[in-house]
This record gives sequence, C-alpha cells and structure tokens, in this order.
Amino acid sequence: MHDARVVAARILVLVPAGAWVLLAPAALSPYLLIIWCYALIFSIACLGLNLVFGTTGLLSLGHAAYFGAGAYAGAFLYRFADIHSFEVYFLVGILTSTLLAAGIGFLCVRATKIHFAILTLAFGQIFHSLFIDGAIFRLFGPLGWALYLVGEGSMYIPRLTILGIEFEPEEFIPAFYYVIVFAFCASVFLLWRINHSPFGKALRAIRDNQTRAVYIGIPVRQYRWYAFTISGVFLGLAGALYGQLDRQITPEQLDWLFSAELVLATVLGGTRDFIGPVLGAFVFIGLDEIAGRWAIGHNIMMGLLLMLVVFVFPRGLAGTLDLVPGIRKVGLLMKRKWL
Amino acid sequence: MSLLRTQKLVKHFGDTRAVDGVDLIVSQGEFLSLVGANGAGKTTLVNLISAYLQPDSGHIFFQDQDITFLPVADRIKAGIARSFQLVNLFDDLSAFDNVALAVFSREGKTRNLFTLAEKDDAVTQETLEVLREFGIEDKRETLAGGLAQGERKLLDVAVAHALRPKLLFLDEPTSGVSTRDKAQIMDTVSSVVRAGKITAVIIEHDMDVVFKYSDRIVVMQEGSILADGSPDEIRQNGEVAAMLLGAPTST
Ligand SMILES: Nc1ncnc2c1ncn2[C@@H]1O[C@H](COP(=O)(O)OP(=O)(O)OP(=O)(O)O)[C@@H](O)[C@H]1O
Ligand SMILES: [Mg+2]
Repeated sequence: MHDARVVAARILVLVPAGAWVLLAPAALSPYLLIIWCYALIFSIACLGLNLVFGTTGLLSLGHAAYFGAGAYAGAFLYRFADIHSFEVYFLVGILTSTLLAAGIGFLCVRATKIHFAILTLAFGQIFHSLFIDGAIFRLFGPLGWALYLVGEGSMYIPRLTILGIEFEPEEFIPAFYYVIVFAFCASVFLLWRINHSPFGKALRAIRDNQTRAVYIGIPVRQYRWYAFTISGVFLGLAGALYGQLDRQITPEQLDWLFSAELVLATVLGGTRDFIGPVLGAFVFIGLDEIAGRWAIGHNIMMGLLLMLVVFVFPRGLAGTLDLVPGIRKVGLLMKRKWL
Repeated sequence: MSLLRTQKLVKHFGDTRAVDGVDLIVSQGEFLSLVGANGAGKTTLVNLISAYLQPDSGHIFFQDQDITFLPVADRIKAGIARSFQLVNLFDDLSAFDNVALAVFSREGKTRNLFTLAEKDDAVTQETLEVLREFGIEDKRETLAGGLAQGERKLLDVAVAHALRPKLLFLDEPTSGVSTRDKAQIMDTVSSVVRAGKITAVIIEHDMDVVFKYSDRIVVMQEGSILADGSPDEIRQNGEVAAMLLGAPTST
C-alpha cells in the first residue's frame, strides 16, 4: 500500500527528470545547453556552500576562492606540464581546492558569526589579489609572468580529452554534459548522505547551540573544520567543471562578488532544505538569463527579479514549495525509505 | 566512597567571591541538593566542576583522579554530565534528535560521514527508551524550540542523561514551571536517577522539593559551604532553616 505510493512518487519524479537529463543535449540549442550545464555546476557549488552555511550555521563570504582554485589548478597544470587529460585536470583541481579550504578553514573556524564571515572574506580577497596582481603567475617564472601579462590573469584551457577520447569541437559540449550530469548526481548523493549521517546531525547541533554541543561531547571546532574542508571539495569540483565548460578562467571567478552570488542563490532556494540550494541555483541562473535579454540595465533587471522572488517566496523556494499540498506529499514520499 | 571531591576551590569575578574555598564531597550513589540564596555561587561551582570555567585555585578530584585541568570532552568521557539553568537545547532539531545526538556522541559515532543516522537501530531504540523514561516520547517529532517549558526542562535533563554519566549535575531543573509540572518533573528525574543508580547533584530553590527528594543537602552562602547534612539535620538547624526559608526563591 505504502510502498506502491512511494514507488509511484518516484516514478512520477524520476522518470521525467531522467528522460529530460538524458535528452537535454538533443532538446536544447547549443547555447541553452551551456546555460543548463552552468546551472548544474552552480548548484553543486551552492550545495557545497550550504554544508557550511545552512547546516553548520557559518556564513562564508570567501567560497569563490575554492571554486576558482578548482578551475585554475588544472589550467596551470595544462600550461606547465602539458597534460591534456580532463581527469587529471579535474582531480588536481579538487585536490588543490581541498587543501586550500583545509588550510584557510583551519584558521577561519577559530571565529564564529560575523567574525567568521569577515575572516573568510579576507582570505578570499587575499587569494583573489594574488591572481589580480599576478603574484601566483610569478611562481612559474618568466613564462608564467608572460602568461599573466597576455591574459591579465585569465587563462585559457583547450578542450581536454575525456577518458582518453578527443572530441570534435561540436561534439564536445554534448559529451562533456554527461560528465557534468554524473558529477552532479554523485555530489547530490554524497552530500545527501553526509547531511543525513550522524556527522550531519552533529553539524546542525553545532549550528543550533554551540555550548550544548560541547557538553554532549562534540568536538565543535574540529567538526566545523571538517565541514569547511568537505565544502571545499565540492566547490573545487564545481570550479574544475566550470573551467572546462567555459574554457576561459578569469580572476572574476575568485572575487567576493561571486561568493556573494553563491550565498544569494542558496538563500533564495532555502538553506534548511537539502534540495533548496539546487532550486536556488537554477532559479538564479534562469533569472540571470532573463535579465541578460536587456542589454542595458542587466544588473537592474536582475536586482528587480531577485526582489520579486524574495517577496513571493519569503521562506526560500524549497520552504514555500513545501507548503503546496501536492508537492509536499510527493516530497515526503520521495524521502521515505530512501536507500 | 567519594566520587567527586573539590579541594579549596576558588573562583572570583573581580570583587565577587563567587566560589571561595569550597571543599565539597559527593559520595557514590547519593542524591545531593545544593541550595542557597541567589548569587550564593551554586552555578559557578557546577561550572567549575564541568569545565565551563577554570578555577583561580584549588583542585577537583573525580574517582581520585585530579581533573582540575582536564578539558570538557575528557570530563564528559570520565562520566560527568550537566544540564543548564537556562534551558540549553538544539532548538531547530526534534526532541528525538536532541537525545539521539547525545547517544551518537557517547558512542563515538558522530564521525560517521556516510552512514544514515536513522538506520542505526540501536541508537533509535535507546533514544526512544530515554524519551519514554522522561515521558516525552509522544513529542519526539516536535522541534525542541516548540516544546512547552516543562517539556523543555525534561528534555534538557534527558539529553544529559543519555550520555549515561556517573555523575549528573542538574541546575534548577524545575525553574520557570508551574507547581504541578514541578512535582512531575522531580518525580520523573528522581526515578530515572535512582533507577540508573546515578549520582546526582541538583541545584534547587524550592525547599519542599529539596527536603522531599534529597539524601543530603549542602547549603552555600557567599561562595562558601554554610551547612552540610541530611534533610533532618538541615531542618533542625534553626539558623540555616531561617536563612533558606527567608531567601528569595527561584531565579
Ligand atoms: N561570568 C560571570 N562574570 C561575573 N560575575 C559572575 C559570573 N558568573 C557569576 N557571577 C557572579 O558570581 C556570583 C555567584 O553566581 P552564581 O550564578 O554562581 O549564583 P547561584 O548561586 O547560581 O545563583 P542563582 O540562584 O541566582 O542561580 C553572583 O554574584 C554572580 O553575579
Ligand atoms: Mg544559578
């Protein structure tokens, strides 16, 4: 009885979603496919951020650094080690962002609340400035410096080989799309597990009441650090995908404005629901596209659209959708006995 | 046998001698009440023993081991747990999760990243058992922030109890609740403590409650121990009784 409804809800949600995901390269124009890819990548980043933000209760304004590190690391590797494999580029990106997040996080979790936000912002901006003034490029000698002067800190990446296969230019995005889909599904799955693990619950406990968390024996600072580092893994993963999708990495992706966009999209979607950041990311990218139709006043349009969404969905998209009976029902059935 | 012993414990806040050379002994298995007027230093004494504060001087021994400089985590592992004078819960988590977290933590399972919390049947069973003992099992899905004051007080004690401590400090578990709830809370708490053979130190202002439930009573005044004895001895100590009954009640 029960189970039949659970299965029905899953079919209702997963079959159309799966069909759409598989058919998107055929159904969308090349331009829209890129936007769709970007939305998937952006939602991985927002989900990663939310492990620190919504779950642990720490507002980071410096997450662009880990996203950028994920994108840049492989670009340097390609330039200076002449490696053409996407897999290597990808893993090096994740490793770099994870180490960076572990290092910066170690220092930042010493503070909480606004002090934490300021620290993350400060470290993020220091990292950004290393790219803006070229200090990072100097590490690679005259060649690196020349690269900086030519690109003003931005870097170009060619289409790399995926699983050893070299794709034709027009085939590349449709093929890479499936890599992104796979990374998205894997990220959602892993973060979902973490969120529903005893560790995930401990993070919520820390968010709600630090003192009491200490008094039930939770190592608060250590767990904050773990959350920050894990978050860095997913930001780096998203950044590495982004670098290959856009093939042009600029210091803009490191700027705190991008960190703020991540926070904005996450809040828009709802920080307290697991799937909120994904909804927020998609809507944010969608609004940005719509606003982009106005050549002049793009930012004003974006601002107005964001305001509209915030007024219509004061509890965040996920929270408000949860009030719609049909959606709520399906959502509950989806959650039940999952895995 | 003494479970806990403090030796000339001192904590001053500026000119305030909150705890001023206290030698307290807590024996294995007893239900001890710590009483005294507002500002007598009761909470500060518990804060020192639970590592919420560091003493200016003096020592704390637990099972004959000097724990004066042990951090909180180690004191919890050793078997010391506490509740708080102002309710201190995870307000956006359910009553169930509040208790379950204490169980997960005690079992060293909060490091598990990829196991599903709700699939842990042993923890689920134990959590439900604790909620049942405290009579709040039917509230398990309610967010702690949405519980009534009496239920919050019980949950606060339940979370500490779920750590299965040897020594449990309860700082005014009945403050801010109606007289009727007070009796219910104290009945529940004392039966849980006695059933679990836990040594309990309870801070309480209501002398009716104190006389009814305690094995022993320690009276504090201005940071020092003024009297120490059985309920009968304290009742017969005219000076102390007058001071206690004249004191302002619950904060
Ligand atoms: N963190 C602190 N900073 C400064 N003074 C403090 C601090 N904590 C307690 N005090 C002071 O120390 C004294 C003892 O306070 P304490 O809270 O231990 O009393 P108490 O016996 O628990 O009182 P109550 O019955 O009102 O809870 C009081 O004068 C109080 O103002
Ligand atoms: Mg007190």
